[in-house]
Amino acid sequence: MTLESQYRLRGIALTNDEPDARIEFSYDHPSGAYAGVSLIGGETVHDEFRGLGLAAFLGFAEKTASGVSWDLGATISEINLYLHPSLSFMADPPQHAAQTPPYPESQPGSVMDVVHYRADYSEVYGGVSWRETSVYLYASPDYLGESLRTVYLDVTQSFRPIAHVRLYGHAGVLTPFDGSGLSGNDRECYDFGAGTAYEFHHGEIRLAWSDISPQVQYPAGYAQKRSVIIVSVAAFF
Amino acid sequence: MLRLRPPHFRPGSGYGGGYGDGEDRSALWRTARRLAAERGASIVDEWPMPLLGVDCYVMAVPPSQSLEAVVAQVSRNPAVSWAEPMHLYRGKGAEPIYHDPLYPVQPAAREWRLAELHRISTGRNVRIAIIDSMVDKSQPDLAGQIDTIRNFVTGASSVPEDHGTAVAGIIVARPNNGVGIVGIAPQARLMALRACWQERDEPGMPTLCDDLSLAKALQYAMEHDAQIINLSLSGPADLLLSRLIDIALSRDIAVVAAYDRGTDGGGFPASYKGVIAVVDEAPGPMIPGVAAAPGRDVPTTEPGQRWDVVNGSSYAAAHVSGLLALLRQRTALPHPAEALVLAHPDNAVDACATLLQRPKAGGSGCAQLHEVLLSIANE
Repeated sequence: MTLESQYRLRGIALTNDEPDARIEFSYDHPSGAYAGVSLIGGETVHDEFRGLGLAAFLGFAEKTASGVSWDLGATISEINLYLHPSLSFMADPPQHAAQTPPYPESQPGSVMDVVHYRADYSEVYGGVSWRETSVYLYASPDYLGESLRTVYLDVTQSFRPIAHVRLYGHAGVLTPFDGSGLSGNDRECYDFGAGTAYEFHHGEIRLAWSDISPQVQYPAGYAQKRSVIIVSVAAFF
Repeated sequence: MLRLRPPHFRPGSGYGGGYGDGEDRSALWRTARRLAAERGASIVDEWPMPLLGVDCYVMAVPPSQSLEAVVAQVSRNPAVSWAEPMHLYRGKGAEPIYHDPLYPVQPAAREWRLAELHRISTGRNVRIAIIDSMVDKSQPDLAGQIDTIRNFVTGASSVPEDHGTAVAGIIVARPNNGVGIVGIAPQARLMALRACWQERDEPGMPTLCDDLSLAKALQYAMEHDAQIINLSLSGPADLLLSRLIDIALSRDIAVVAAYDRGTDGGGFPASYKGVIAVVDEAPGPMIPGVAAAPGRDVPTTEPGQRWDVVNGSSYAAAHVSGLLALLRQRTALPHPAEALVLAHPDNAVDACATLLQRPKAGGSGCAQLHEVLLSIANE
């Protein structure tokens, strides 16, 4: 279970600077097969804790005699966003948008509409890891439900300077798979991250920095901050 | 050794650094704890070994459990790559024989193989009288090593003095106390009889003695059953002293004296018949009837918490007195002067052959001593 100060997907905020909580159930079979589901919930614009999505994953990983590990799998993600009507989701009207009934605001006598967007998408992925370095490639035929075929390349490097402390850096690039671009924005969207984690036997505390390239179209129309600090606490059971 | 699972994708891992780092390590920890708890053991240490694809957990097995049985049980768990008892390894650098910092530079350590001699004898309970200047019995290398201390110098203050303290250190300096040197016969019982004094007003502060003080000390030594008397001094022949030495020799007491190269015949009492005359090993012609022993660049004790390097026959005589104490512990002395086995051509004392009382017959006495030690070790 993880509590984190902000819900971000590849450098982009999916909550309005609100914290979120994740609960993951996973199983690793000795053969190398694994599966799991991650449930995400968090604060919405109405300060209500609501389900923000889930991600189910299934894969197979194996470590070769040379020490290189490979990993193949697929994931299905559901993302729920709750936006003010004035805020947009992606460039075009979302295909899966559904306006929710009016939400009562905290102040009696007034109401405020909230639009509930849901973006389901799936990805297949493959990655290799050697020592503390991992390179993964993700491909989605319908990224965030926007009929956009994308690939995402993710490189992560970890380093343990002392026992129980892990430093890491991450770089990723998301790009349309079929040559299409996002109008008015750079074709590629880069995101970067670095952080440290202090490991306990039953959890860890992480402090991470996340940044994203400037000319990027944000899928959710929040007041996006490019560079943020994310604090998270994870407990493992 | 718990088998590391290959890293794999987890949602949100981009902000956790790596794939499954924390989750997998925690899972392995829980597995290790469960394995330990099932056997009444506990996890006392852990260390990731990614090169081997394992996380190493050290399990403390209670005395009531068989270590071999626990290792076998744990090894059968599918999560365990292997288990093994913790082994102990030893550094193979040469262990210091004595933990006395000046021991390696003592001539006797190398020339006499002192450490090997000590495996045979340490002079335990052999009574040695050194008739000399005042010994500093509180010197760190001498603390507890002086059995008796007496002052036979009339009217002189009893402050510790250089010569006597240096001679005493060569004979009985305490081994393995982390300071200084190792005495030739560290378990001998030393009588420190002051018959000499350090003339502090003269250049070089020479050590002087008079015959009356020496006679008093000789008498005391014999009255108190000294087995070896060390006289690291030289002067004119003296009837009083000669008669006392005669008595000592008649009682099979070994009398060791320093040979004075600057005096014809080596001075008294070294020149006296029956006295073992000893000179320091210095380049030059062999002196007939005079044994040569380490006496050059000898580190030894000095008053206070000091050590210094000394030279001279006085210190060679002290070496021989110590060696005779080793021999006396091992066997009753034959004629004292003949007990020393000399190595030609310079009359150097062969300490190993002396201790074994085996005249040289090809090969060194220390080779013979080594054989003896091996036979002792094999018994």
